[in-house]
Amino acid sequence: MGRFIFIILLIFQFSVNAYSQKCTFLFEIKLIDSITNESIPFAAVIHKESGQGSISEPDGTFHFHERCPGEQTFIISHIAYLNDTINILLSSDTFLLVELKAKVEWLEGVEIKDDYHAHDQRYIAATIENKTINAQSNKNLADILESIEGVNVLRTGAGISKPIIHGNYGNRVTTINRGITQSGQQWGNDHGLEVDAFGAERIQVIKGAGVLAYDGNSLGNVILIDSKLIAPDSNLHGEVNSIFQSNGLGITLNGSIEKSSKWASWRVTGTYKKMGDSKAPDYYLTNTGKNEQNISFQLNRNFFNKWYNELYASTYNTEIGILRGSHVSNITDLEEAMGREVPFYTNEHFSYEINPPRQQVNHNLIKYEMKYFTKPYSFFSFKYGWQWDRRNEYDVRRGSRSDIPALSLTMITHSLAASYNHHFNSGHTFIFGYQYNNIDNTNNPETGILPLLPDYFSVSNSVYAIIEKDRSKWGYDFGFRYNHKRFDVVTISRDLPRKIERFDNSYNNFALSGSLKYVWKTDWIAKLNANFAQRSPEVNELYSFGLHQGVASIEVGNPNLRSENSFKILASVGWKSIEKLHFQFIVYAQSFDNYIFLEPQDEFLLTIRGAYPLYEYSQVQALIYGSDFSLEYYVLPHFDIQFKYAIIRGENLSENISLINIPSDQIKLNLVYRISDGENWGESSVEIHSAYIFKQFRITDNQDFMPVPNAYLLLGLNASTVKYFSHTRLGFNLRIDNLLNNSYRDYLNRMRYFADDLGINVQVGVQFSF
Amino acid sequence: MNSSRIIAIGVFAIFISLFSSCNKEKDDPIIPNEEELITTVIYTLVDTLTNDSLVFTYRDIDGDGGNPPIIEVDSIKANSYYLGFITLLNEAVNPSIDIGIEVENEAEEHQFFFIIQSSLGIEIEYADLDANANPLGMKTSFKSWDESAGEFTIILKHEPNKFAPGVSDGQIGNAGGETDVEVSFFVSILE
Repeated sequence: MGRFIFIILLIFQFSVNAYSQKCTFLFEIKLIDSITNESIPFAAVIHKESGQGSISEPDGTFHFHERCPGEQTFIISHIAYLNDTINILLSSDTFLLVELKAKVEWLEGVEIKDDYHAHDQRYIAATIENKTINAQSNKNLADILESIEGVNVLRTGAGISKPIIHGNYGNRVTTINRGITQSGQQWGNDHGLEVDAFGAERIQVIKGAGVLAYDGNSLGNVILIDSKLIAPDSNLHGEVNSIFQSNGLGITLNGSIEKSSKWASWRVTGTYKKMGDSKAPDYYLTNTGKNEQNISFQLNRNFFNKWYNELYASTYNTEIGILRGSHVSNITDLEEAMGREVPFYTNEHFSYEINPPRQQVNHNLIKYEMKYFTKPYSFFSFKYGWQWDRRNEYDVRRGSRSDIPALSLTMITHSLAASYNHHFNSGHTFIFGYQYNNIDNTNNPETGILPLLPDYFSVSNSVYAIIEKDRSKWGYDFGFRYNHKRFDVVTISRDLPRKIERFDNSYNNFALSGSLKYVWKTDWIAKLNANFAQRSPEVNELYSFGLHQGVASIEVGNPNLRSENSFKILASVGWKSIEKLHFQFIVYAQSFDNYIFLEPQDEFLLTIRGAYPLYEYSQVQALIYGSDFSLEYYVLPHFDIQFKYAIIRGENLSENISLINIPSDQIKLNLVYRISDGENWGESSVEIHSAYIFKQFRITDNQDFMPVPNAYLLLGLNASTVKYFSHTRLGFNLRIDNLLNNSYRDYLNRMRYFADDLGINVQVGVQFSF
Repeated sequence: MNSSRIIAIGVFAIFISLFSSCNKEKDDPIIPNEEELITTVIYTLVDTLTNDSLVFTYRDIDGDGGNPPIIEVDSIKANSYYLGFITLLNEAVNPSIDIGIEVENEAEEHQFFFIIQSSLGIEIEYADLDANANPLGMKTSFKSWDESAGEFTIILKHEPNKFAPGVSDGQIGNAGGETDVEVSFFVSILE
């Protein structure tokens, strides 16, 4: 056994050279620097059992041919890095990516932000790695994605976050969790993402093309949460992660254990979160606590080196308090609440209690996935997923009914996907696939309230075909997708006597997508992505009716909506040099025909509870365009500057006004100082973060209930260090958000009508892996 | 074409035929029993001298949406004293439910407010109390002056802060809470 360091494993199971158990395996290692991700040439690797040795290539790789199955030990040494020993259970061709810690203090290099996998380098996308996900596991998933330029967050207080990718959110963003399209009530602006990302290998945000193979209604905006492969190591490994936060006095605990044996590999993870009232600089945000309990289980088994299987099951359970002072009824109530300095019902004391208004969501997933290799690099894949989603929303009700939800929806989804990837000798890959899903959505009548969203059953069938070719210098892909979707909707009439009315809607959606990548002088990479897609209306856009908790307005669906047509084109240019500088510049435009949105009507709806602004789903011509820019400049040894700028414009062309919920311009500047004593303490850094959010002055006063909030500046501090022991790793980090305890409100947070945003938050985390 | 490819295509065909024909009809939902709904507000004024009664009714029988509400008013006699009684009903169900009973049972969590347009010469005062000696407003005393016309609005607040300044005198400004009822009547005072 050697010293254990943090290993990222990519295991491609090739079935090269027939399917025998003889000594024919290929073992390839690529060495990279643990901090800069740069390849390490001229390292020495010795295979302990045979005494064979080799030197790594300029690109950091080693190849060992004709390896035997079973336990093997490889010892790696390099003059500038700490020695490392790898203990591995070899049962097939294996490729390992190994990080080495630098021995010397001097560090040079640049973080590679683009996705590591060669074939994904064609897409304009961004990635957040496992380490960052786990270090920020106290945050909501969408909040972790906010560090990506071009990604913003639509919030309903601190507990509920939805991602906005290039101005698209809700029904226009698809989340693929461990290979299965997340199916829940994603239409609601106050419905967060019900996924626990702890333990995922990475989260990729795809901004435009390359999404034809994913089932869902997105117009090119996909969030992929990838399963982490289990280390092929017969020792028990695992991780315990704990984060305490001062704002909300919250505790987050994550744990995971995993083990591989000849028979199978398994992993169990768990998450527990408990947070109380969060705090704005001047007052507590009463009733904003949050609880979460999640467990997941993963099992991997490989037969004959050509049949790879994964079983994954997870349960996600959360209870979220909604600011008590935001629970208003009609427009007069809303205006009274907006006029207040401090929200109604603000308690002077902190509490963990969660009372109505509150939300409770349970989401269960069971997935089976397999890949069957027919020849090297060609495979057949099959996936089945089952999801059960229950959403209960509790209001403050009369007559002790506050324990009965005002909205209670159960959604059961079955999804199936089959595809075949064929790799030709010319280097082309041809993929074709079929996807099916059905969704059964039912309201619980115990609520005693006519449902906002009706019961329905939907069936969706899709086929797609893609051709792609990737070389290190250039690559391209082109694909086509056809989807048929049918809804069987059962509504309850709004007049008396209440009767059942049935509706049937069906849609045909086409999509075409292409991408191009060109690399020159190894440092410059240019990409072009284009995507034409159609999105059929969702059930809420067609048939919703009623008051949706919180913002004093009545939403009405429009059953005559047609599918949206969207055409998006993105271009990016990036430069990554070995030293000094890395940047990426993206420019994009997305044009919509029949863009569906909630349009405020001129008249109010008069009810017995007073007047409510009325919103109806309508369609217009729209255009969203913008630019993302990120730069990292390595000024001195140990010290670098990161700069990001994102701008976006969204226009309702039919009415010559801005679209709502389009983020304002943002600038972020981070200063990073890195140190390493080269011995037991490695990877230490101190960072100062700053973000300036401009005022969204493109929204006119008559487009909103209240004038848009002012621009604001936020400062933050991060400090982290890692200590290595013989088999284990201990990490500490300190994060301070809103360091100056500024009072501010954000245009994308619905709570801006009622209260200031969060004040200072000091977060302390300890992470132990073994 | 080797056997593994044949298998792959065969499995494909099975799935396509299996699922593309999957046809299910969604069951009828159970229609919720809307017992909390208020469809009707009736403000009855009983003349303290003659015992005649006047009735102001706001009725939106099917709840939000559907048909618009129906409002009926009587004209008020000038320079008179009345006792006012508020009735809240759910008439969407048969038999109708008296919601006023629930409100009275939770008197500490409710309060009625009366907003009177300045052109209308009337005065309304609370004539009932909850357990904390704060008003509820299901019973009121009502006085009319000389001939005039204007609008008066009855508002029912759920969980107002009755102890905030002015609230127990009938000033809604600091009350907060959620509005469960807000109905307006345009009335005339005639000789």
